[in-house]
Amino acid sequence: MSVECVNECAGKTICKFAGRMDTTKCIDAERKIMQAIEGADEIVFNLDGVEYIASSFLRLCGKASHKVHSGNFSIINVAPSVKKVFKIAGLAERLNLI
Amino acid sequence: MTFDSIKQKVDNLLSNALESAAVFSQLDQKQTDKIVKAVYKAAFKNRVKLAKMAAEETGLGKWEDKVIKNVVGSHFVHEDIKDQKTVGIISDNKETGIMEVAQPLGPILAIIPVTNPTSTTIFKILIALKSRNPVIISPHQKAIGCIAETARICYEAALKEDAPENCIQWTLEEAYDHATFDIKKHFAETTAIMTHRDLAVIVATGGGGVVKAAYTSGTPAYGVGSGNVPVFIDKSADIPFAVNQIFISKTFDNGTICASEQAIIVEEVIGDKVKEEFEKHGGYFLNESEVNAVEAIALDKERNVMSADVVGQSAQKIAKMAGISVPEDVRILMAPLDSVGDEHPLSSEILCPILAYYVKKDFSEAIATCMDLNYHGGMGHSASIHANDESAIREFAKQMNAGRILVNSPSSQGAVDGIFNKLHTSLTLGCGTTGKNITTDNITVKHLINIQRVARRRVDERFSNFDASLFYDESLSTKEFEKKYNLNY
Repeated sequence: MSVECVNECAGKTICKFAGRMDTTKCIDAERKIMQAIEGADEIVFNLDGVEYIASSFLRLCGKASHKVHSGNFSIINVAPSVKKVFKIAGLAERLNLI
Repeated sequence: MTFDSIKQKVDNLLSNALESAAVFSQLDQKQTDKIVKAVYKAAFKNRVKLAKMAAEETGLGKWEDKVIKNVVGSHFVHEDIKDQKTVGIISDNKETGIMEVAQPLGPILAIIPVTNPTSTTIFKILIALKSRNPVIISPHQKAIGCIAETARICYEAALKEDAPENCIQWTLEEAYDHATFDIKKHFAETTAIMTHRDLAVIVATGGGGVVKAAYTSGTPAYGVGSGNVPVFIDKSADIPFAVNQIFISKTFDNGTICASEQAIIVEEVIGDKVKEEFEKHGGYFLNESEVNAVEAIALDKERNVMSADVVGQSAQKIAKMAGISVPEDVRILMAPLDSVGDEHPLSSEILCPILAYYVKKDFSEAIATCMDLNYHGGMGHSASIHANDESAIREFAKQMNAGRILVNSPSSQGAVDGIFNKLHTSLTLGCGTTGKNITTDNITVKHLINIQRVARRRVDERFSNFDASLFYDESLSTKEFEKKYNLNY
């Protein structure tokens, strides 16, 4: 499974991704993720083990970040090669990469 | 379209491109090459369709020759770049300790000219993708349809190989109706893209105006310059061969390539023989009044440049426009001239089958005329010589100011090459600083990567063994310093 979402505590949802988040996987995962984060106050995307992200994953992050107040969305455990993608796209700060 | 809507559209284009650049940065050489190959194959497969579209839409040149241009833009460009390393570590020199790491530049704006619309689009897409850069295609307003179709074919092929979304984008497709096209909006949009903070580089192929706009935008740019290619036929040349090569080149797509021959310069001693050979091939030597008639239609007098009406038209059509009756087999109009300059419009660049023709007393006078032509609007571009005397070739090369000096070759094809010589195949020919460009190179993949140099420690022994206090000894002469510095080395 490349995506797993859990409610860690009240209002906080953590989605853990793994492997290649290519276009097909993102399309498959999007509905599940949007359902899981519905109503959450805080969303964390854990990218531990993610080695590639497609444009659709960047869009998914953007969409998810709009579900919560500014500052309540974050992305953690990002590999350097994936972090570079967020940096080049100019999204690292906006999506709160930690 | 308002200024705000143009800004919004351009912001979206660049946002998509930047996202694409980010995703592209993860691809390795194998994945990159796979995408490039797929795009080349798709473009090659559609070469005839795209050539016909280009000829029909622009009304310039011949579709048969545009097919060849598309073959050059796809097959020959791919042959030239396919084995080049463009991703990650591209060289590692153990001796110098320098390791080179290639990084993509980011979003590229590719300005496409009307004269070679589909071939230049294919070429720029291939070199952009090979260097892992997304590209935004900005078409000439008279070739929007064929350029958009070329970009679409390439993009679909790229996506099938998992290329990043929006790695190829194009503008203006919605403005395909030439009748309602708004040039001011086009310029506003192009300017907005050129000056956008997220654009990495502009590769501008086109007229002086667009190239200047690119260079003054504040974004790094590769441009081209205008050509005015002098062709010297030396007395050592194989004259029938030379004239045949010139015909192959100058009649190709009715002379629309900027590296095509513009003037023939010969020494008196071979003048008659060269003239006879030109006539044999379909050259028509204009008399004085006919030269005047052709001048009248070939020049845009207001702007003092070639008239758009003659660009890419056949010799037959141009003769008819000038009210001159020529035999049916005529393929090039030859204009005998004495001097070079604005008072002789046919001594300037005209992208159609017209050639100025000069007969000069000797080698020295002939080279001087070549220089006059070269400096009359063609600095830094290309020059051509037909000779079998190495000293003549070397002397010609020393005196010309040209990024490419073609020897015993058709200059149109020779300059963009891969066929007649080993220059990099390119449809964007740098013209150096005198042509107001940053390089004289044929623009290719290497110009679209940033090379990071990893410099490992390799200390100069002489420096470490040298008595450093001597650096402060002002009485030490340069000669004494060098002697001590190189002692036992």
